[in-house]
Amino acid sequence: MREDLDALIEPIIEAARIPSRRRRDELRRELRSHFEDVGQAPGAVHDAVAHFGNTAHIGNSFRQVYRRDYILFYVVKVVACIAAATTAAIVIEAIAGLRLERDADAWHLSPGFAHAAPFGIVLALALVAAAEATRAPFMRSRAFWSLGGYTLVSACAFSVSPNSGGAFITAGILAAIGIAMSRAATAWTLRAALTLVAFTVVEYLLHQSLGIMFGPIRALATSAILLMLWASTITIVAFSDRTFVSAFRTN
Amino acid sequence: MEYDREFLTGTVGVLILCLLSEREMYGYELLREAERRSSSAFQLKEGTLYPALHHMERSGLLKARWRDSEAGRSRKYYSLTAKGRRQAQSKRQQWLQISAAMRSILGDGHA
Repeated sequence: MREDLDALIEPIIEAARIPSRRRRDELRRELRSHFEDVGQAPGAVHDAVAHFGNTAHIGNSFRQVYRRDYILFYVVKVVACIAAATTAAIVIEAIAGLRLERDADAWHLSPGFAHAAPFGIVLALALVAAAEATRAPFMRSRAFWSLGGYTLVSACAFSVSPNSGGAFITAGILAAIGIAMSRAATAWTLRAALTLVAFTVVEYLLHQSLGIMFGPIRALATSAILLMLWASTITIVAFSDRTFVSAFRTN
Repeated sequence: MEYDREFLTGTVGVLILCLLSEREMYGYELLREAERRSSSAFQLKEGTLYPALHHMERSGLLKARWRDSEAGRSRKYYSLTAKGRRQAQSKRQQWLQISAAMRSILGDGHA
C-alpha cells in the first residue's frame, strides 16, 4: 500500500518543483494524511488513488502555485554562478598578468591586465549566458532571457563605452564555440584540446581581420589563458546546475 | 450528474471560502462536506482541491496549521484570514446575485 502511495505522491512532489525542502515535506505529509483519512477498508485507498487524478496534471498545478519561488531560486542560482565565474576570471587574468620586476624584485600586474580583466569578465558572462540558453532540455523562454540578458548588458556597456562593443561580440563568438566544444566530446582532455585549437584560430583570424599584428604563437598563448577561463566557468556552471537540480530531488 | 467543466471553473475557490467561513477544516473534510451539502452534485477531485488550497494559502486568503485530532491523527487544518473572510463575503454576494439572476432567466425550473 505504501508503495502505491509513494508511486502517486512522489511524482507529484517532483513535478511541483518546490525549492523549499520544508514545504515539500509538508505537502508529502498532507497528501499522506489525506489517504489516512480515506480509510483502512480494503480497496479504499486503491480507489482513492485512482480517483486522485493525473499526477502530471496535479504536479503541474502545484508548479504554478510555487512558480514564483522557483523563478527566484533560479535567478539566485544564475547570479551566484555569474559572480563565481567572473571572480574566477579576474583571478585567472591577474595570475596570467603577474610580472616580476627584476630591478625592484617585486611582483606587479602587466599593463595588459587593464584590458584582459574586463574581457575575462565579459567572456565569463557570455559563457554563462550561452550555457543557460542551450541547457537541456532546451526552452525557448530560457534561451530568450539568457541571450536577452547578455544583449542588454552589452547595450548598457556600449552606451557607457562605445569601444566595448567589439569585446562583447568577440566574447559572444568565443562563448558559442566554447559551449559547443564543451559538449562535443566526452573526454575532458579532448574537449580542452578542441577548445584551445578553436580559440586560437578565432583569436588569430579576428586580429588579422582587424589588421592587428598578432602571430599564431601569441594567439595560442592568449587562447591558453582563455581556455583556463573557459574551464573554470564551465566547471562552475556544471556545479551550480548539479546543486540546483539536487535541491529539487525528493529522496 | 456530470457537469460541463466550464460551469465549474471558478467555483472551487468559492466553495472553499464559503465552507471555511464556518469553521476550520482539513482537505478530506472539505471534499466530504462539499459532496454532502450539494447532495453529491459537487464531487471535487483531490488533485484540484489541494493545489487550490495551497494557492489560496500563498495568496493570503487562508492560513494553515497542523493539529492532532482526537484519534491522534495529525492533519493540516485550513482557516480563513481576514483577507479571506472579506473575499468569502464578496464572492458569496456575487454568487447569490448571479444565481438569482440565472433563476429568473431560467424560470426557476418552470417551462
